[in-house]
Amino acid sequence: MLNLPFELVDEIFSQLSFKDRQSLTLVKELSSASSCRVLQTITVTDFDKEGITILNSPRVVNHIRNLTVNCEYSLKLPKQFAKMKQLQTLQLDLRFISQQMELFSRGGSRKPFGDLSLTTFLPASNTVTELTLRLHSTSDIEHNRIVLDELILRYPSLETLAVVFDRMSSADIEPVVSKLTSLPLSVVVVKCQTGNCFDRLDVLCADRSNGLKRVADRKERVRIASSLYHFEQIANKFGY
Amino acid sequence: MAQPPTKVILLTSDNEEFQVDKDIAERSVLIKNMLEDIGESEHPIPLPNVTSNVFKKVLEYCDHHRNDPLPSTDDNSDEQRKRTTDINEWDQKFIQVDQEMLFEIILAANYLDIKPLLDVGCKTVANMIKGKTPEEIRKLFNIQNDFTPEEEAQIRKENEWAEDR
Repeated sequence: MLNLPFELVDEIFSQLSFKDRQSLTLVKELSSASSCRVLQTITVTDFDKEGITILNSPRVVNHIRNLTVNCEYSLKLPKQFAKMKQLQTLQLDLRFISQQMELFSRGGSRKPFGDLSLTTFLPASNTVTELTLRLHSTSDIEHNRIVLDELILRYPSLETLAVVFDRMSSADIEPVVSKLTSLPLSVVVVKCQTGNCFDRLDVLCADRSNGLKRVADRKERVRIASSLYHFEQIANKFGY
Repeated sequence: MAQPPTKVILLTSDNEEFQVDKDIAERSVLIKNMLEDIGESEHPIPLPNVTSNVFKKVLEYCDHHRNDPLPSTDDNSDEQRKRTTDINEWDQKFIQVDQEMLFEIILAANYLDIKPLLDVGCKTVANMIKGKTPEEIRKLFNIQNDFTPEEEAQIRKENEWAEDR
């Protein structure tokens, strides 16, 4: 078994259950090969010491493909992100920070973030192709708390961006959609969670020559959004 | 009167020659491609990565399955084939060999590009591992050196954060 090339060992492990693969991670000689499959998907929501340790673990850094991180205000995301060479899909929940920033801008926050932009909290990655951002409100884009040009520089391989807002800051989402249309990406999905209006899903899709265009057909919007890795976070109880 | 089957000569790494019906040999995509490239030849085709005792087993498999439809190159059917770890009765008996031979067969099937045989080998190993504890897996593959208790605890802790997706 130990003399088989990696692709054959991986082929064997592909036919095992998650629990069996976890058992194999505890056998030193087979640990690396099984970790490739076991550590593909991780969600870090609790930012105690352990949560930070997980994001810094060499095993996680080497194998993680799909990562969901709930960023609380006290969190400094480790620089290890740049070393996560397999990382493809990333979801960052920045709602707490963006809410604090909004409160601060109105003079109501006790723990301000000074002049920091939300973009500061986006860890750079050369490998991420699909990014989902959960934000407090559309004002994060309207007021440039997320600097879109900087975002693109931080993710040079990015193809798909999904932005999920908890609420719309004004009655009209057009200024936000208009800003996002300028991005050099293949797909942008915008979702507002407020209310039970489940048609509030905007999808921009690139055509060959003219950049991103709005997808008018609802079924097509849902089809495109459904192909996103973090779709279940984008969808809510009201539909899709 | 039916024509006798065309034969091809195959030479294993330990210099043993095998005269094999062409349709049996062509269960191997590697050999099939080689025959297409070189055309008809009296020279034996060298198989430097397979020994004679392993090749005998491979030929036994190919002979039994000589009339099976060739596996599709379609990715979907490939995935479907892999999804089940069921092995048919004849294949189960065929693959009841010692571990060393089992892994040799897997390597040979991979080299010769015989996907159904590779599947049988991989599924057999997967079935051997299924439901076993780390300790039982170590025993199964005769693995001595392992993690320290501290390293094992760290791996268990990291695994707790992983999702089955």
